[in-house]
Amino acid sequence: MADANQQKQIQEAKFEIKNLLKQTGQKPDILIQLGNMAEATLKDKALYPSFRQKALSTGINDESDLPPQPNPFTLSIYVALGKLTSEMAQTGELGA
Amino acid sequence: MAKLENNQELASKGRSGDTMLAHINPHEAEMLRLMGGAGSVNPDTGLPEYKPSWKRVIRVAAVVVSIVYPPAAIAVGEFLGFTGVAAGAAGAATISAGTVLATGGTPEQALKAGVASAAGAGVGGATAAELGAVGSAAAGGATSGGASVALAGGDAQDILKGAAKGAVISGGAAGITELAKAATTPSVDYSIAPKSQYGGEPGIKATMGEGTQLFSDTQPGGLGIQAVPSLSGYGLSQSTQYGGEPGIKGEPSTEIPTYKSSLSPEAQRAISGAAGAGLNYLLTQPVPGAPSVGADSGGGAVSPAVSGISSSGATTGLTGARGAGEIESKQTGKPRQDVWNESSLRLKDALGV
Repeated sequence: MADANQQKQIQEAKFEIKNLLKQTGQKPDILIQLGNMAEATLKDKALYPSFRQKALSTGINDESDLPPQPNPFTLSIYVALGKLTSEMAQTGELGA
Repeated sequence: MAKLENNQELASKGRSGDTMLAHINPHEAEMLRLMGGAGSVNPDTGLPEYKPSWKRVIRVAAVVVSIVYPPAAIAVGEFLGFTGVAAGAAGAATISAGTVLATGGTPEQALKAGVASAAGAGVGGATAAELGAVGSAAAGGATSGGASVALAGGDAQDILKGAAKGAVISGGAAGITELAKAATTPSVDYSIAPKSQYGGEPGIKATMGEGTQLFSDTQPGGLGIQAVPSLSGYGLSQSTQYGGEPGIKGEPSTEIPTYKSSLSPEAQRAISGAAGAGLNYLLTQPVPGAPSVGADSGGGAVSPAVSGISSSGATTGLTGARGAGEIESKQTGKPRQDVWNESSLRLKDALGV
C-alpha cells in the first residue's frame, strides 16, 4: 500500500502521462503496449530491438532516450508507465 | 533570403502532432523549453521541436517504478545477470541510482543511494558468499543505472569510477547494517582463536580469497577490523583482541590470543563482505607502476564477471602515496614502523579511515 508521499508521486506521474498523451495525440494503448513489451524484454534481452523500434516509432522519444544497448532501468520505467497508464484507462482517469 | 517553397512539406514531417513551422528567437525557444518542451531535433528536418519532454515523464515515472512495479528490483538484477540476493541488490542499486540521476542528483548522490539500496536489499539472510557478492552487485547495478543517465549528458567516466567505489561503500554498509542488527539483539559471547575464526571458516575463505588474510593470525594488527567504523562500539573486547590495542594500534605481536566478541556470526560475515568488496574494488584500481589486473582500469567498473572478489593480481604499490612506516597513530600522531601489511592498508584506504 503506497503511503501519502508515494500516492503524491504516483499522481504526479499520472499527470505527466496525461499531458504527454494529450499533447502528442497518442493513445493510451501505445504506452500500455510498450510497458508490456518492456516487461517481456526484462526477461528476454533478445526482445529489445523490437521494443526499441516500436518505442521510437511513436515519436514520443528519440534515439538518445533509447540507445541500441538495452538498459534495465529504462525498461523498468516503461513498465511503470505502462502500468500507470493501464490503471488510468481502467479507472476512467483518462476521460472518454 | 530565399523563401522556403516546400515549407508545407517540411511542416508535414513534424512528429507527435507537430504541424507548424515558425520563426522564433532564442528567448522564445527558452520559453518553450521552460514550458516543458524538449528542444530535441527532428531527425527528418533537422529543425528543433518543442514537443513534451520525454525526460520530464521519465523523471516522474522513475520515482514510482518500485511502487507500481514491485518486482522491478529482481527483474532488473536478473537482467544484469545476477541471481538470488545479488539480483535484488543489483536491481535495487540500479533503480535507486538511476532515479537519483534522473531526478537531477549528482553521480555521487546516485551511487550512495544505489549502494545503500543494495545493502538494504542484499544483506538480510544472506550467506557469506552472497554478502561477498553484494558489493560487486551494487557496483554493477549502480553502473548500469548511472549509465542510462550518463547517456543523457552525465559524465560516464565519473559514474563508472564512482560505481566501482560503490562496491566498497556497499560492503561497508552491509557491515554497518549487520552491526546495527547485532547491537540490537542479545549477543552471544564466544571464545575462539583468530586463526580458526577467520582463516579456517569455509565459505568466507573461498569467497574472499585474499580477503582472508586480513583476519589471519599472521597479521596481529587485525587492521581489517580497524577499518570498520564504529565497530568498537559493538562489543569487541580490549587488549586481548589482537594483541595490544586491537584494530587500532596494530602493534606486532607474537601472541595468538583467544578473544571474545559479542558480534554475531552474521555481523562478522558482513564485515568480511565489506573487506571482500573493498579488495575487489582496490584490485580494479590503476596503480602507478603496478601490473594491470582485473577489470578495466579506466572506468574501474566492477562487473558481474569479477564479483567473485578476485584475489589474483597485484598486491603492490596501492599505497604508493604513503611510504612504508608512515601510518601515524590516531592516538599519538607519531609514525609507526612496520605495523601493517599491504592488505591492511588496502582496506584502510578503501574505507577512508
